Order: sequence, then structure tokens, then C-alpha cells
Amino acid sequence: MSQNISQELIDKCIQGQAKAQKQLYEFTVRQMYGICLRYCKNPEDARDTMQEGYIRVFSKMKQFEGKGVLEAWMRRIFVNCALENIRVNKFYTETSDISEEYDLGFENLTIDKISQKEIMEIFQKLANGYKTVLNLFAIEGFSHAEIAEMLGISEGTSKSQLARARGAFLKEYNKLKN
Amino acid sequence: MNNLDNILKQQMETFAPDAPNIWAGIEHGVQANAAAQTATITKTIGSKLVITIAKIATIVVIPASVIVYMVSNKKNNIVESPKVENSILSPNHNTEELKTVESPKTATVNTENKSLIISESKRGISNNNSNLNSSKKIVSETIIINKSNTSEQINKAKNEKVIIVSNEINKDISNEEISENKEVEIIEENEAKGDFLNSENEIRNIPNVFTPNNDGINDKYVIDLDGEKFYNLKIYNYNNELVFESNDKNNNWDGVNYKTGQACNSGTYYGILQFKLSNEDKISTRMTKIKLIR
Repeated sequence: MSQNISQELIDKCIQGQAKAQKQLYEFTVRQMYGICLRYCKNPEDARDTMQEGYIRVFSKMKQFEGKGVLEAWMRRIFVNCALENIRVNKFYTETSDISEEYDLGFENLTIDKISQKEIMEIFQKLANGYKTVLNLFAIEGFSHAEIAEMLGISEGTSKSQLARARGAFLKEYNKLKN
Repeated sequence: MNNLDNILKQQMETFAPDAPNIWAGIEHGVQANAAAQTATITKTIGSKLVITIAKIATIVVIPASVIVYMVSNKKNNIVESPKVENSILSPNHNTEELKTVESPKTATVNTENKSLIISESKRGISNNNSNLNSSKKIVSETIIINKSNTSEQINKAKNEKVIIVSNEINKDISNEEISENKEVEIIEENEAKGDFLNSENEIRNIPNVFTPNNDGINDKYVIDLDGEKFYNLKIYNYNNELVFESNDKNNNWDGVNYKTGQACNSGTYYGILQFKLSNEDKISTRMTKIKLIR
């Protein structure tokens, strides 16, 4: 489904040509919306985050030159936008003391098959802090040091949050499948 | 636990659900941003212009005042040069200088005066001498003229500089307008041709699926390209990290991260190929998404 973005299109977007920008938007919108949905609480928040993300991408595109892959660069901007929007909730101070949700019993559970839809269903049920750290570590592939910096938490908190998040995810997965 | 992380990554990397159409809002936001940027640029140009005018004014006014002072002095000097000497010189020098002044040749008096006047103007024209007062008035008048920007009344040197500055701005603006018009035309042409996508006429095959699992099929990422003068392939992973680079089309990627030596996981990768064919003048760039499956 994804079409390749040409250098010509990138150049025109950098020049600020609206038609080129629209084309880039059309090429990437589904993928970027996917990112926003993964991080945000609901589709409305995802929509707002996406709009902010695209405006930022087009305004900052001059800075992209020579920084590898446009899509990856854009994704980073959208992740940052999403993080800024959810950080307001200060979920880490809220959830870090709640140990009930961290269920050791599911730690060794393995997942055979799970669809995107099912993952999203489980994400909706997870606490914001868990969802965020799973997104950043497992899907985006950031290190604990990077996550700590992005979220303004310690590396230790990032690690413990991830362990709890995996447990919570598997618990929900178990519920879903049984 | 890597099991969960891997599954999440593999499934969600390609998560691209149907999205609401929010282009109108984005376009509006981008335009508003651009307008805000242009406003700041105009502001800075404006303030720069004011500063330049002020600078030119200072440069022009000082020598002008010197000239004016000299002219007014010349007239006075012939009649009452000793007076001027007395008021400007410190008492220690009085005797020496007065000797020169007393000499009958007016020419020498004038040269003496010139040097004195220049040093005086360097001190900031702050003497209460009656001669200086007249030149001060002229100075203040010139400044007022500068502020009102009636360049006709400003003296020649300044006038020329101001015109150059404003001309440059005019040129820039008109150039921008012209290039904008051109760009619009180019977009319309391209839209008709659908030129934004990679046209792969020059290049036979840039594969987008790659299976480095040692089964003898598609184990290396090979780009089918002939007659190139220049070749550079970069492969990035999902996180924009370079995992492979080659300047030789026969050196093909085998799915190993060339920095760490580790085999790359299944997932999405991006290839950026730059090449120049022997019959072309400029380097072409092609980008492709590569799905690595193990």
C-alpha cells in the first residue's frame, strides 16, 4: 500500500509547496494516524495530535535534509507530539506506586498470535504509563536511557514501568483469549 | 519477554488504519505558521533597514559636520583666527601655536585649523564655541531629515546608499514573486504527469522485499542497474539508523548491520539509492521501503 516518497516530493515540500505537502500527507497519513492512535487515549486526541504533527513536520522540514529517512524523521516528530499531549496527565507519578496491576503470574506467558486490532484493544485498557513505555521500547525501539530523557523519568523507572507494562499487557491478553 | 516485544514490533510497525481527513486543518495551520514566519522576517528586515539608515546617517553626518565647520571656520579664520586658536587649544600650547597664527600667510593658518577641527570633531563636537554652535545646528537638522525619510533633502552620499538598500529589497520581493509563479506552473505540470512518484525508467529493479535466510533465494539485496558512473546505497532501519552503506553495486547487503555485525531483525527498512548514469549530468535519488523477512 505504501508508495515510495521521491526526493523531488521532499524538495518541493521543503520549498513549502502546498500541493506537494498534500501529497506527502496523503502518502503517510495512515501510518502517522496509527502512531497517534497507539499513544493517545481516544481517536479525538489522536486526530489533534496528528494535525499538530503534520503542521510541525511541514514547518520544520528544512531541518530534515540529510537526516536519513523522511518517514523515520516524521515518526519521531509525531511521537514527540503525542508525548507532549499525554505528559500533561503526569501519569507516572500516579501509577508508579500502584503495584496491584503488576501481575507476576503472566510474566512467562507467550503470545502465539495476536492481531493489530487485538493489540489496540488491549492498549486501550492499559494505564497510559504502561502503554507509553511499551510503545517507546518495544515498537519504536528506544533505549531506556532515551525513554528516561524523553519522559523526564529515571532509567530505573523506565525499566520497572516496562516490566509492569509487559505483565499488565499479558494479563489483558489472557483475559481476551480465554 | 522478548517474545511480547517482538510481536508488538512486528505487528504494529505496519499499523496504518484508515485515518480521518484533516488536510484542511493542517493546511490552515501551515499557512498560519508561514505567515507568522514572514512577519518576523519583515520585522527584522524593517529593523535592519532602520539600523542601516541610522549607521549611514552617523557616517555621513560626522564628516558633513566637519566640512560645514571647516567652511564656517575658513570664513572666520581669515578675520579672527587667533580667537579660534585660543578657545580650542589648551593653555600650554598657546604660546607655540600663537606664533604660527601670527605669521602673515593665511595658508598655514588654514592647515593648522584643519587638524584642530578634525580632532575636535572626534571629541564629539561638544565645545561651546560659537563657531561650533552653528555646525551643531546643521547636524541636528540633518538628523531630523533622516528620521522623516525625505531622502531628497538628505545630502548626496547618504541618498545614494539609501536607494541601494531599498532597491535590494525591491529586487528580492520581485524575485520571490516571480519564482512563486514559476513554482505554481511546475506543480501543475507535474501533477498532470504524476511525477512525484519514483519513475523507474532508468533503473530496472529496486526490490522491496528481501529474505536473507540462506535459502539461496533473495539472500542479498541486489539492485539491477547498468552503466552507472556513481553509485551510493544507504540502508536505514526503522529508527533511522544506518545499517548498511555501499559505493559499489556489486557489494550487496546481506541483512547484517555493518556497524554491529549483528543480523538485522525482520521488519521495515529504508533504502536510499543515489546514482548517476553515464548519459546523465546529475545524481538521481531513489527511495524505497524494504521489508526484511527472515
